[in-house]
Amino acid sequence: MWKTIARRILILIPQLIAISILIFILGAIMPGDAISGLINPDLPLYRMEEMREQLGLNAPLPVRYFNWLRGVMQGDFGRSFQHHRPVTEVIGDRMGVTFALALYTVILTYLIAIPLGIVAGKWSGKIVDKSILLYVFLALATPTIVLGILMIFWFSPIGTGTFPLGGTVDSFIFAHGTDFEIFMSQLHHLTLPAITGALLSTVGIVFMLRANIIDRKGSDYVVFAKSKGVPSGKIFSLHIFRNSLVPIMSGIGLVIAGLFTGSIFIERIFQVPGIGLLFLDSVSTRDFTVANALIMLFAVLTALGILLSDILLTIVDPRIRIK
Amino acid sequence: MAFDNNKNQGKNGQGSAPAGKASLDFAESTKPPGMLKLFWKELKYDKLALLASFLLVCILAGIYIGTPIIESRMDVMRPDLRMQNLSPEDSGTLFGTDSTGRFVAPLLVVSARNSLNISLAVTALSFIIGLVAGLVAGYYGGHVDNIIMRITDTVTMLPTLMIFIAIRAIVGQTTISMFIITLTAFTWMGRTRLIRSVALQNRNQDYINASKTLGSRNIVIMLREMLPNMVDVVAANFVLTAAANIGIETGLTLLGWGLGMEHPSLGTMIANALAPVNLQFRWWNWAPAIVMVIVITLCINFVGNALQRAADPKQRLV
Repeated sequence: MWKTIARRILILIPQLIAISILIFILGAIMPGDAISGLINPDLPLYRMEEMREQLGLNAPLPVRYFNWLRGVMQGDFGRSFQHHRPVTEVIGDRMGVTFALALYTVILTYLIAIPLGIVAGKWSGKIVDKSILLYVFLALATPTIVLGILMIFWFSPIGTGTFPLGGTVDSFIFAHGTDFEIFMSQLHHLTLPAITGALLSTVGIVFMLRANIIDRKGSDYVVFAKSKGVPSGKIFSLHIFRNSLVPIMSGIGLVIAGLFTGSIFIERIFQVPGIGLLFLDSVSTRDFTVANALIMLFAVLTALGILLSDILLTIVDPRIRIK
Repeated sequence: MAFDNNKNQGKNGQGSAPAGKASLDFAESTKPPGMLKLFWKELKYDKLALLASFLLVCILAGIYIGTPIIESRMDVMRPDLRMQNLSPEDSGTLFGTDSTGRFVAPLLVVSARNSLNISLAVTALSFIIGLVAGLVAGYYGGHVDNIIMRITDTVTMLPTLMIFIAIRAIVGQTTISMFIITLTAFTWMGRTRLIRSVALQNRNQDYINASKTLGSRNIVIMLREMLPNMVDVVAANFVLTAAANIGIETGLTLLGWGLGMEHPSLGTMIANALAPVNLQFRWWNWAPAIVMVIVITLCINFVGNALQRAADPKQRLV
């Protein structure tokens, strides 16, 4: 098992290097560089050239790549010219919201998907199964941002007013409330975006869980347990459900990786001030140092999500280890 | 259309393989039932898919026949400032007018046509890349396969949505064809992986070995022997990918990095809802486009799924 995991991590290293080269080239194409954040009208042109020379920005591309990589390793992505602060700080401020939203969405996703998958698999072909499948197809057909629009139309102050829109906490409660009230207000603010994300990311899980359960129902060991006279409830919970759940739980890394990409749509439509919205804002304002750092961050997060899934799968499924 | 070609190829490819005139009763003959026949059987069993394909045919016919008629009679993009924001009741037309005084109903038809065309173009291009890369990787295997798949894996790991947006920001305003090409650059990976996996299943089969022994050139084996045998899977996946790509266009346009407002598309129509006043008071501006996106995608997904079941004996319902 450890051998497979070690090999999996070893494969990741050249991939990450290739990705970093691609993103560095993208950054080199983007207008603006590390000192763009320091430019002001009082700064003479020759001084700027001096600074460029000092920082090694006039060096050939490969040299600049290694300098950049060294900076990235130490968490130095340059300065944002929009925020006049180091990029790392800007991103750090916004990261918490995105992570909280991702965690909330993951929890909701599994809370919705697992019961639906079980019901659809257990009563496959029945009317419940068909309505769940219809829901899955509907979710598959709806772009994230479109569901976001509909959710705002129905549940935000525009519609029923069940959930607030924009921001992460009620300003009055933030100023006067207790810690618990602040937490509840934050939860309340994040609920609509989280439900939207969760409703759509359930698709794969429901589909897979249902297929797994149907598959297991006809397998030899289930038939054997039945012929031994094991009660059907026990067969389902011990033999079918447990085995069907294994690939679902190990897919959590992929779900998380998908959520970070989806966060761009969700945060845009619900105006959640996380890193997805920060990325869109920084591209719009041509703050490319921030944009580039965020692309690198998302690439690493996605890579880690896929790695997590692969490792979990190796742990739970011995068949993958033999290669 | 590319899809129809695929289907015809499938019929020809399978029909030419066994000797003798094919009899309709395939229970007696050794000829495997054709893709279309299996698809029809699936539809007869799955009534929802049957309804979806009927609806899809109607919508497609309406869109592709309606657009030239509408465009010959009026300029759908022409604003009319005296006709702004009329509700369906006020204007006496189906969906009223939008904030620039354009009639929503004809605009919807033209937009749906454009969105479908863009999605089909992106899908077709990514399938061409996928077919070339996947066939080569799957057929040759070994180092060639390793190199192609490592490249594919690496590109898959990139945050493609963000890179797409960044490139759009650097390049600035683009034409529809540039939009299609850029989008293709980030959607070919899944196709390559799919076609490679089918090619891998086929590469050691007897018919390939036989062709190799006969001295056929590699390219001939790939195109004449392997390709017709994967048409079923490719056709099903093509349909499902086309459905997904409609959503991608819509999403990107809504983020503000897709098509500009000057191009009628479902994305730009839904973007009307981003203005709070439209969202709250003028449902006819954006709701028809949302329903259109969901209905088209849903129908295509149902049809694609039935095709997929027909292509894979293990998944068949009948």
